[in-house]
Amino acid sequence: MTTAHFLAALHATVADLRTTVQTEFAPLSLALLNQRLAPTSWSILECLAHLNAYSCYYNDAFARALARPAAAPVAYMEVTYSWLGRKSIAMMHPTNLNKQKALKRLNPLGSQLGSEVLAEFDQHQAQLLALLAQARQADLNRSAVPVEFFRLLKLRLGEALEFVVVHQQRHVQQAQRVRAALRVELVC
Amino acid sequence: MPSPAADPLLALLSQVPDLPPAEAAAFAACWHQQLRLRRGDFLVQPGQVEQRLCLVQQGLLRLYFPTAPGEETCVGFGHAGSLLCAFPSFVTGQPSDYGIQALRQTELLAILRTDFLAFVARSPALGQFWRTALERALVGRMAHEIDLLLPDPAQRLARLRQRSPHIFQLVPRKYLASYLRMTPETLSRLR
Repeated sequence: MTTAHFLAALHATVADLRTTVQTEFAPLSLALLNQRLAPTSWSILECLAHLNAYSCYYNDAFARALARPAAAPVAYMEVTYSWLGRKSIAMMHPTNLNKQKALKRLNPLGSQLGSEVLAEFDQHQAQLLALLAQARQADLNRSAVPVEFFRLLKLRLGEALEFVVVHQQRHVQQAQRVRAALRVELVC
Repeated sequence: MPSPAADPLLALLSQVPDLPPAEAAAFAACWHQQLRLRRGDFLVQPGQVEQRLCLVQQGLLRLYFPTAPGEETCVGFGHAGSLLCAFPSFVTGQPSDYGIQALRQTELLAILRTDFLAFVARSPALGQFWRTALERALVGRMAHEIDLLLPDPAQRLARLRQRSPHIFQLVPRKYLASYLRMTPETLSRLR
């Protein structure tokens, strides 16, 4: 995929996620947003808080990586993947139904959260959309983004962006499943 | 840690847009009957007339239809957050053909049919909510009807997986098999 298409697709996905959170979750009461379906599963707010923790790190990392513009025009350059990038994206992709264990410090389980989580999520998404726009001038194949839990490893800029977006998709879908289970339905 | 499914009544009220607070309070107060069933207890026995609408707080129930002496078919399941009643009897006032039985220890809140219908008639917001609930339930019923018309058990299973993935975590296999009109052996072979 060329850089321009690649970024347009990510941009559309992030915009969708943002709308989903605004329309489906923001109107709910805090009691529902904090409700857990099982003692060890996340509430809607916990799903989003987990994403916020990731955004805090990766949005900064992206901003740093984007500070250096590409040497040549990149709009038609193919986006390529490293072995690590392909693996990480496949692991986080929502179509991979296996559970992945969150790192302890990125696991918000057991918290009582407030609506500031939603506001923070929205801010992060606005930031990410701006970063995606900025990335149109950048070389996405440059290894530039240190991995959060092991900073000696670096992802290419493009694959790191995709990794963060599929990770967000994964957990917004998880939150939507929680939302669906909270819905009162008539059984007859 | 707060209990799972803290307050389905709250979930229900949050789904009624534009409900004035005073109406919401009066409506919530009318769910005054608290029921607790043990595993195997009946909420409704075939032949009873349905007088109330129940909201499941926690637990699991099945709706079933006795097809022959000693035989029955599951036609639906209620879990936390389900609004539950023997619907045909609730609407017509005739004795119910269906039975509703708890499959686990179950807690429910109930409102009298007459109270509930009075609220629905009086409050536009609740009327709208009830209509949406009925529409959704009808769509679900039609989906199940199509399931039952499909000759291939695997297809029926795939459709249910698509439609209600959560049900597989909640309901014992033998009742799911009955719901999908197959034997438990067939279901276990397909999975």
